[in-house]
Amino acid sequence: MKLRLSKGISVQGLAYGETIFMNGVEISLFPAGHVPGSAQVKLSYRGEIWVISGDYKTIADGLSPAFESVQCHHFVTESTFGLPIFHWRPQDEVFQDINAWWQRNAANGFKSIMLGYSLGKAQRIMKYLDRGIGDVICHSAIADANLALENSGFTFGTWTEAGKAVVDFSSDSLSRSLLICPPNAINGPLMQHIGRHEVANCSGWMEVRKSRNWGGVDQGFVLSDHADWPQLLVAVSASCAEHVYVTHGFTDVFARYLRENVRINTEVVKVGHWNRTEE
Amino acid sequence: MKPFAELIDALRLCRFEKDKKRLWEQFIQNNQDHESYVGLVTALLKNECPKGIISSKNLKLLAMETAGIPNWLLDESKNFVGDLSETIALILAPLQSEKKVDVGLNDMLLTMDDLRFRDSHEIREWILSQWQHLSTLEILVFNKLVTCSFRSPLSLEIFSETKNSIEPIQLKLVLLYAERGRIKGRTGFTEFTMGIASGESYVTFTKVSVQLSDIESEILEKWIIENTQEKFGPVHRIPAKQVFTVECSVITPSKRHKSGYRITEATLISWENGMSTEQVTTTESLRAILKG
Repeated sequence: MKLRLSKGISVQGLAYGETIFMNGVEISLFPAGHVPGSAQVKLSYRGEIWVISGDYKTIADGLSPAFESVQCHHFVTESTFGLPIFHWRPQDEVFQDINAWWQRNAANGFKSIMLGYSLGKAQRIMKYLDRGIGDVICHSAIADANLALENSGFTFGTWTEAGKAVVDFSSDSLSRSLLICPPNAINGPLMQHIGRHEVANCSGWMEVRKSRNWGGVDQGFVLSDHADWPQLLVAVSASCAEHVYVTHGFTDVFARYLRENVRINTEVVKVGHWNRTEE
Repeated sequence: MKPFAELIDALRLCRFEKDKKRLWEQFIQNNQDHESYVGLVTALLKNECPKGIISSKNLKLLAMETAGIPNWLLDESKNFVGDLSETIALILAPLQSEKKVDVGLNDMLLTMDDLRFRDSHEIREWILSQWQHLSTLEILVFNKLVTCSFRSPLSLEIFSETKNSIEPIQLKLVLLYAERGRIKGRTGFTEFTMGIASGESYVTFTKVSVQLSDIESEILEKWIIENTQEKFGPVHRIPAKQVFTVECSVITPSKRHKSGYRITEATLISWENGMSTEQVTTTESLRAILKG
């Protein structure tokens, strides 16, 4: 959290399931399965229980602690992918495609560049890359997140930081390598010295064809750390909540579906600015 | 069906006509021993498609029933996806059987031909069975074929050697949307959606790749960022103020396009910095130019 926000912040860590009290409210955290360290917040006060999901996915990715459903009276859920067009394939299948793409590029003398968020997505990708194909090189932002996670006991295979290898990355000796970058680094200086390459984006938005043209990437893989439509429905139903509050994403659509088709009291909660393309 | 669906998808994802041309030539080369197959695909890509066997409305109803999704939810999904055939294909994804059957394109079209005069119940049953064992990508193209809404991603010019006899015309168009992407190894606005004047407002007319001097790019980039009214992912909507000269070589009337025209070759010639939007070409004047 210090890495993401600021080293100077005052922050108290809380293990999953551990309890603290603030103003008489019992507060505890449960795994959200979104990225390492992500948590749902459970608040209990005089027998009434609220759970705020934050970003989550219910399917285990093998890296982040798996989502735990918590029964409550009031459930606040995200709905980033709250349309029935979003269905994620099992991640093994997606990683088979990713490794095949990398293998093909390596065979054709193209370097592979994979875009993915620094915390969570990048390490999830790294964990399942086939290291028999070549080396994995990470952009400095991802390297920072890697070190922080490795210090907390997470493992996702060997890697080299791009800063130290960038000169060599243009050479043929590294032509079988795969470079992982955060999406905004695609326009940075790193890219200018790379030579022949293909760029792939790993995101839930890649499900829809029009999104694949965003930013001019060559390949889109559907891989998300958010719940797809079936997972959203599973999470709501497993919470046994009488009241559901929907925030972030296709809020109106998902809330209406829960009200009219699942028959749960549901409201939309608006929080600050949210850009649909962020994930 | 699978290679055809993959070809159509690859063509749709191409950003430039030259890439489409290369893909198409590659396809012909890879299938040079299958003359009749290439002939069939060529006909489809020239928009010589067979008549449909079901209306889009009925296909949508069938998809709603099959997936158990209410009408409004399918409409909301379609609004986001932008295409009914793709929306249906995505919604049906979890209902597909594991076992994929490779159906030949020719067999598919022959069956469609057989079914055309059959009972609507039989047609629905056949569509349901195809939905089960085709992949999402194949269903997308299949939906377009059965409803006769397939539109070729290739321009007719790619098929015809005559690829330049048309005299290009220069139009004054106004910038409506600017899309960010990679340009010369850095971020910048790579694609502009240009509008033509229609009545009191402007309608989208064509997209152009941005080719401007570094200084012009810099000034425009600053202006676009400062004047952005709305953002859709990398696409910025801005007020219709900046006028450009755009050269169009192929303009064909089309009911599917807002402006009433389909443009396949448009090149940005120059930025008319400071030019009044009163100078923007109107749909009326374009009609007169094309007739003349």
